[in-house]
Amino acid sequence: MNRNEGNSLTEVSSVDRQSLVDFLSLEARYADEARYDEWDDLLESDMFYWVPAGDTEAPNPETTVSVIADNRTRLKNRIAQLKTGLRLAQQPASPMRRQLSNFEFKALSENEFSVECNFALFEYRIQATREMTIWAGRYEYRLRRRGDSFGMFYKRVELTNASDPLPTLAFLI
Amino acid sequence: MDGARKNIRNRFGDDSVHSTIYTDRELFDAEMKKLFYDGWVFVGHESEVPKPNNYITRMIGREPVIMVRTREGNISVVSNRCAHRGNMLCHQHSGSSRSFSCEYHGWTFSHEGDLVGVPLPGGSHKDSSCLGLQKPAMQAEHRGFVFITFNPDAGPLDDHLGKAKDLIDRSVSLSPTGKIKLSAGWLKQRFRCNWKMLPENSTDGYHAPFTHASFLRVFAPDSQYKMLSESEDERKSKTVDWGNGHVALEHAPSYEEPLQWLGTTKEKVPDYVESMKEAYGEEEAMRKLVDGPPHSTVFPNLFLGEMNIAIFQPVSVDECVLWHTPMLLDGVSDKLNARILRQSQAAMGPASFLLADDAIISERQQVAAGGRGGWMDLSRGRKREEKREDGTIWGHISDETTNRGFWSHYREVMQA
Repeated sequence: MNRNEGNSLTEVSSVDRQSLVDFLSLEARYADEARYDEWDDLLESDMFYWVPAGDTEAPNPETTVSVIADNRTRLKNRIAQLKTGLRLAQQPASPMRRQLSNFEFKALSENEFSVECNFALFEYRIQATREMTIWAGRYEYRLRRRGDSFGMFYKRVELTNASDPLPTLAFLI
Repeated sequence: MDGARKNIRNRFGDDSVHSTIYTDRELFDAEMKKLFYDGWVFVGHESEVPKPNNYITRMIGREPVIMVRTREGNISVVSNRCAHRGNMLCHQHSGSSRSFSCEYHGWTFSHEGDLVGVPLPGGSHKDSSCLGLQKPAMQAEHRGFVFITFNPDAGPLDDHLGKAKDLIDRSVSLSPTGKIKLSAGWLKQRFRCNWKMLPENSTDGYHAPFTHASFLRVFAPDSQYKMLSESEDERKSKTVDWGNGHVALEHAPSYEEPLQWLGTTKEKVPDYVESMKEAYGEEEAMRKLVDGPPHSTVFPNLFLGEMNIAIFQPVSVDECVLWHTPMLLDGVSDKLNARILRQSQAAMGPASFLLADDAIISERQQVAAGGRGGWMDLSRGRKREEKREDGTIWGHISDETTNRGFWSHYREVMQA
């Protein structure tokens, strides 16, 4: 049965919407709780993880500097570095919680979806200054159907303050 | 402020500094005047304003400035503050404008800072030539790097740069055309610490195996960073005090093969190697490609961080910003510049594999300096460093020759 049931390609069924939100809630929880391996298990082999800098009008990970622009290999290394237990910028890992809202869904194909949402992330910078830092912005995820759930192959994090100085950001945002 | 300066000698011991050097607000104010307004400071690179009317905004100490390419193609630096009521003229990081117009009362200034238009001019009776934007007392450039000073008695830029000119030349000569392009945008990282920890840490060759243990464990095997985890006797890199506060980690002795510093080989980038040979001749080109770029602080605010250009920006006594942009090369393939960009992102920036950890150490240092404080040692290597005939001092890569060089110039300038 076509899950979109006759709707145009960009529309996403309510069943799929709920599954996508469930997946993204889990992804957020793993990132918040520094559960690096479980987070990594959610990723597809063509994952691209991008946090553009805000200084340029048309950021491009190939030609302009990014806060993060990780392909699958670099992201594996990022996680491996965190897992050494010696990554001072996350030693100990920041206690944090993020909230997602204002979801917008789009089907890219029968098995691939794009979800955008706003986020607010509260990070307690326990390693040094012990301040609560608020990160805010918009996520764009691209997800591929994987059995009953999904795999993530793209995550773009648009920080509201990306054009100005950012504090250390060594966690999974 | 003068009290803070008079106290300078009490903050330095023989091979040590006192932690109040990072926490005294009056001293910070004195530094803005003596180092950032009265001395030569880096503003920006000409490639950031490639076309007429292009401008960028920067902070020089706490002074907002605009650097603009004039219609005639020159580079002009003016204060970013309307001469009338002090409103900031440009509030974007960069842009393009035929003139600078104040949004408060509509006064308009030329790129050179001259007042060229006042709305409702009936009430004006002053000579407009005395109502221009403030300008630096002197402006000069070296290989496209633009420096200014607000002090007419600062002496020529060449005297301030001294051997730093060779370092800048070495950076830009990695391009076959001798030009670099700072066109990838800047990333800005906020540190909750005193700004002087940035130049100190940037040329501290001692900390890498400890602060960057996680990086070395994951990335160092089979990479150009392997040398950072070698034992004391194996390490060939040097620390260098070039004079005038310009200091460096000299990694060239650690490299045996061309392009090792870029994590590649000459076979993988034949076009680049060929164009370097054409530009500089075989022998000179190979020497450049083996030695690689400098890793050097140009006192007080410019850092030639290998394939990065960085700026140290003080904000307040316990806050600063580290700017960085990849040093892209003119006359090379997009692929090579993409490699430089990726390497730059790995090393520097708030989410990078290196600087994120340095930031935490600096912030912990600042917290620890905030109480009674105390003396901090900088004696390492004093007994084994070598003073050469040209006045430069060379130490083991883990020695504090660089920080002693920074502080000795700092003392001299602050006490003058």
